[in-house]
Amino acid sequence: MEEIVIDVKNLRVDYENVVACDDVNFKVYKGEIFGLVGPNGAGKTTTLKVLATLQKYTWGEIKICGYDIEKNFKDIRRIIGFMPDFSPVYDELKVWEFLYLYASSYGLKKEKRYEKIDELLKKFDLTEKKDSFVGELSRGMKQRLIISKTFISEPAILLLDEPASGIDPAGRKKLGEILKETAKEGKTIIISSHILTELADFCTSVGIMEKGKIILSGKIDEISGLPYGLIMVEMKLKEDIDLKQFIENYEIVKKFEKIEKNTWHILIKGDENSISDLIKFLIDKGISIVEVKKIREDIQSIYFKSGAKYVT
Amino acid sequence: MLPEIPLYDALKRTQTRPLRFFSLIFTELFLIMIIFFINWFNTGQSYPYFTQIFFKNFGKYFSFCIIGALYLILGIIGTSAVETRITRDRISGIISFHRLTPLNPDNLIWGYILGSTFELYVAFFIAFLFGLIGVFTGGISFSKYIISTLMIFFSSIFFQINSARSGLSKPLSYKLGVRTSAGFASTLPIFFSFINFLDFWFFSPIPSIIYLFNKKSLGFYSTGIPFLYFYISPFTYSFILWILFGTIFYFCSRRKIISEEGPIFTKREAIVILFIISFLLTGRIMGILNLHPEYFISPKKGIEDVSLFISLIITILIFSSFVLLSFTFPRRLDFIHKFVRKKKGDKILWYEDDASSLTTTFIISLIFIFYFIILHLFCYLSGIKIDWFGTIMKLFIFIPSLFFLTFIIEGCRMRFEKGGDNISGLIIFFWFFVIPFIFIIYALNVEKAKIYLMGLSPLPFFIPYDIYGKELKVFSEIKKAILVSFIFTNIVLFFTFLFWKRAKLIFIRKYS
Repeated sequence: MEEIVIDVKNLRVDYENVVACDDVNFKVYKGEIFGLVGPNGAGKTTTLKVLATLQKYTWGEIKICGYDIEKNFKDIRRIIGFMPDFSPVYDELKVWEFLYLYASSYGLKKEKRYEKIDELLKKFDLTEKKDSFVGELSRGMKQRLIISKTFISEPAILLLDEPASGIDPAGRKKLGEILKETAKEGKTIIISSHILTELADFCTSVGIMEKGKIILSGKIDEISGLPYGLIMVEMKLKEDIDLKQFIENYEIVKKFEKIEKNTWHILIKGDENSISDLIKFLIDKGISIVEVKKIREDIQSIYFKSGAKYVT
Repeated sequence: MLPEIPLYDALKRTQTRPLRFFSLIFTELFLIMIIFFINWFNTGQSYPYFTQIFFKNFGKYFSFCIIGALYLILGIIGTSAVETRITRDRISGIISFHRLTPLNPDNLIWGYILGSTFELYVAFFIAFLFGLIGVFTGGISFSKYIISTLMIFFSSIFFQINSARSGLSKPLSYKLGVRTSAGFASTLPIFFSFINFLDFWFFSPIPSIIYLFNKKSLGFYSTGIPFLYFYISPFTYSFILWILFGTIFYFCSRRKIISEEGPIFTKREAIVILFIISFLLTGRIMGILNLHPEYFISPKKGIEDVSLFISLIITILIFSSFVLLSFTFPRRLDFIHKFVRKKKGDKILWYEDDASSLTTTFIISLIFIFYFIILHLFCYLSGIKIDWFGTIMKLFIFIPSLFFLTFIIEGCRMRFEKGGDNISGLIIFFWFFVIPFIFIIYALNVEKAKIYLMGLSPLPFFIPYDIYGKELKVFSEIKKAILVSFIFTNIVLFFTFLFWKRAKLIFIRKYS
């Protein structure tokens, strides 16, 4: 059974005359990349701030790694890494000095600090800027610096508020890869954005927020309507042949449909190994395959299907 | 081994860049050079054989000025630096990063206090070394110089703790878009250095230094501070104040650095503060009534017997009235709207308004008048004669002066929003530091105190009894001084209103 890392129940946050979050409920499991999607003012930042123990909430029950956020906020602060939606930095410090400040704040041993800093600078393509002043960096670079700072303590949970804003497309792609790697290491990530395409590539689950409420949340596969253990693939063939005769009786194939001249959608049972089995099966039958890709409903279509009215 | 303070290390790095560091050293040497020449002119103009006298008196004058410079560096600029740094970090949000680290609150607070003032400590040390030139050229004694420096140091630490508390607690006004870094707490070392009112003076090192150097000419302090049934020295009294208030302010800072949420003072903290104030007020009032026959008529017979009882009653009364006041004080003061700017028809709460100094001044004025009435009632009941004419005159000067100061500070701040701290700071520094500083130098070194200079600062006139030496007891002198102050205050008030009008126009253009 999957381990629940973050469990939010009935969260409500009130500002003076505004309800920022209203009856927010969601769960995030270990190793997941949870995308918090919604337009500006939906309550994403407030939710993340509450999870980061930096925002008081009106009521609700929140548990992070089993710790109650109200009673054990100090324990929670030790295991989370938080990146806000803007870049608070000390402009007068050099890039390495900025990271050194947090390396020492998180209690890294002196001899390991420089090693860690170099590793992070390399990871986020900032090595060349090591001796530059933070104030001289572009917005995207500052953003990368803040993300690298978040990684210093190697937290079990990463809370990233719009991390890709200001980062160029190549940087975004790289960030996505880093996040995927991080999640593979068993770390849990919550990432918020109002730009849907930003999250589409790497989120495993999603929570859609609007006007302070979560209107839909869960694993992408689940909320996209596919039952657990089924995969939809799109297969492009070299020639226009009738695939039906070959796969109709193949045990792992549950459903199939020709959607274009050479292209088929096939629903198969199993995991990603089953896709390899299917390809091997068809090649053995002498069919030339040009392209195979796994299809899942992207966040954008889930977002629209959820009934959310406002999208950026 | 001292624990590592990462924030201190980082902030220190920002201050030790060669360019910044050398410019600091250069500025300081320039300041010391100015002090040197001021002393030269001062000694030279005072005596006919100036060269001879210059060398004879230079050491003394120079040491005094360096003591002033030490207070300027660590007490005034240092306090402002701490508050500015913390407030800016709160505005930028970087303080949240520090909160999420496993560092304990003490580490963070001292990181801010020591880190923001590192270069000032260097400057302090250099100025201290220069002061030794004065000491070793026939000036003040070495021990007195060291004690003065230590008093300045401890006082500065107290003010810095308070400014850390203020920086962590004050509401940030996002609504108006005006964000200020240095606030009221930063001006306290300046205010308190010359306000001999309600013992605020003893938060500064000035009374201790005066006591150290010039015991006899300031009769009020010649035998110490009357407190309950003892005379205590200004050193002891200052330390009592620093420790009592410093501790409570430190705990407030600790609470606020862990979490942004929560009030400036919790109810528990407020009760402790009120208890401390009640205790100090009672102690001082009873001390003055019992122990200072020179300025107050001796208590009537029989009062001594019940004095302990009376002191207890007063403590309870003051304490309970403060508690009642703190719990019943309205959150929204509607009658204040005349003093608070409006934006698009929305009223801004007085405590949220970035430009609420006028409101604050208004409230301070009310409190002071209230205090004044109570004090005079007290004196009347104790059989002390009061000069009612002088009192009313003092009130007339005090209130406009206070408003004037507010206008000038607010005006500066509104006009020079970007980097405005420096310009308003310069004016504040001149107003609150240079003038009292000159006054102190004259009062210490010249036979007759230049009381007219006091006209520039409003508060000495608010004291119902005279502590400034025998010459002020001559009625004509007091009258003349008050008249000069009154005329001068009104002239500057006129100019300030013009200034204020201009500032208001800029405000309207920017935010409406």
